[in-house]
Amino acid sequence: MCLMDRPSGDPQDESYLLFKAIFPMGAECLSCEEVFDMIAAYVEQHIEREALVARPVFEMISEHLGQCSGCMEVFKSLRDIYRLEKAGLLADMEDFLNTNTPLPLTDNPSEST
Amino acid sequence: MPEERSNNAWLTDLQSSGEVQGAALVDLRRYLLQAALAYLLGKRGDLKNMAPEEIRDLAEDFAQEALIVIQQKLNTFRGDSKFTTWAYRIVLNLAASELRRRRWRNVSLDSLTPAQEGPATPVTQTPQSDPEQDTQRAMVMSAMKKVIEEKLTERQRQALVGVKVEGLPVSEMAQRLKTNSNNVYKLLFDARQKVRAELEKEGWNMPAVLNLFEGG
Ligand SMILES: [Zn+2]
Repeated sequence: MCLMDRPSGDPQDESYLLFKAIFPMGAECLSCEEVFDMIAAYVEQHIEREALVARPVFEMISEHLGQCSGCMEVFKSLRDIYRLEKAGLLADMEDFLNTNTPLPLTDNPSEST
Repeated sequence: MPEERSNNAWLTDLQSSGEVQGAALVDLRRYLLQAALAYLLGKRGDLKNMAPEEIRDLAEDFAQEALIVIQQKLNTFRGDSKFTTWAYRIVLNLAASELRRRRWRNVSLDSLTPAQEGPATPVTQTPQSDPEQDTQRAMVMSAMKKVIEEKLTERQRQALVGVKVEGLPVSEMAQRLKTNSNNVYKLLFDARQKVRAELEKEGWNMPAVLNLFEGG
C-alpha cells in the first residue's frame, strides 16, 4: 500500500514521519536508488521463481515499480536481456541489428511484477 | 561469447592486474555491448533515423561508460545475483537516461500540451480542518504509537524509528544492529505489516485510515 499524491505534513513532526513509515507515500516506500541496488536480484527471482527464494523486500520493489516509470523501464529491459541471455541469444545482437529483425520478446502471462 | 565466469572469478579477475584484468575487462565490455545493443534494438521506435552503424556506436559508448562505472562500484556487488545481471543494469540505466534525454530534447516547448508535460507533480492538499476528523486522526496516531511500542520487536522498533523518524541511512542502521542492509529492509517491511495488521485487528479499516489523512 504505497500511495501517491498524499498530503505532505511537517517533515519534522514525529507523528507524520511514523505515519509515513507505516503508510509510505509513493516512491518513498523504497527510493529509486534502493530499487536499482536490488533490481538484478529481483529480476532473477522474477524469472527463476522456484529456483530462488523471494525476499520480503521484493514486495516493496513490486510496489515501487507499479508507481515509478523510470524504475519500471530498467526492470523491463533488464528482464528482457536476462531472458535473451538465458535463451542464448544475447551474443547474436549484431545479427539482429544488421538484418533489422525484431527481438523475440513476448510478455509471459505467468509472470507479473 | 566469452567463457562464463563465476561471480568470484569476475571479481578476482577485474581486481587483479595485467593480462588477467585486461582479459576480464574485454569480456565484460563485450557483454555490456550486447546488452546495450539489445536495449537499443528494443527501442527502434525511438531510433528510427539511425543507421545500424550509428546504433552500434551508441551501444559502444554506453558499454564503455558502464565499464568505468562498474569498476568504481565493484565493491558494492553483494553477490545476490549473477555478476553480469548486476552489471547489465548499469549499462541499461545509462542507455535509458540518454534516450529519455534525447526524447525530451526532441519535444519543442510549443508543442507541449498540459497532458504531455511529463510526470505529474504530486498534488499536496491540506486536510480540511474538521474537529471530528482531527479527533479521529489523533486516535489513529495514538493507536499506531501504542502498537509500535507494544507489539513490535525491539529490533523492528529500532529500525523503524532509526530509519524512518531519525532519518539514519539503512547502511548505518545495519551497522548499529550488527546486520546487513537486506535485514534492515526486512525489519522495516515486517514492522509495517505488523502495525497495519494490529490496527486492523483493533477495528481500524485501512482505507478509512488513509482517507482520514488524505482529507478525503
Ligand atoms: Zn523509482
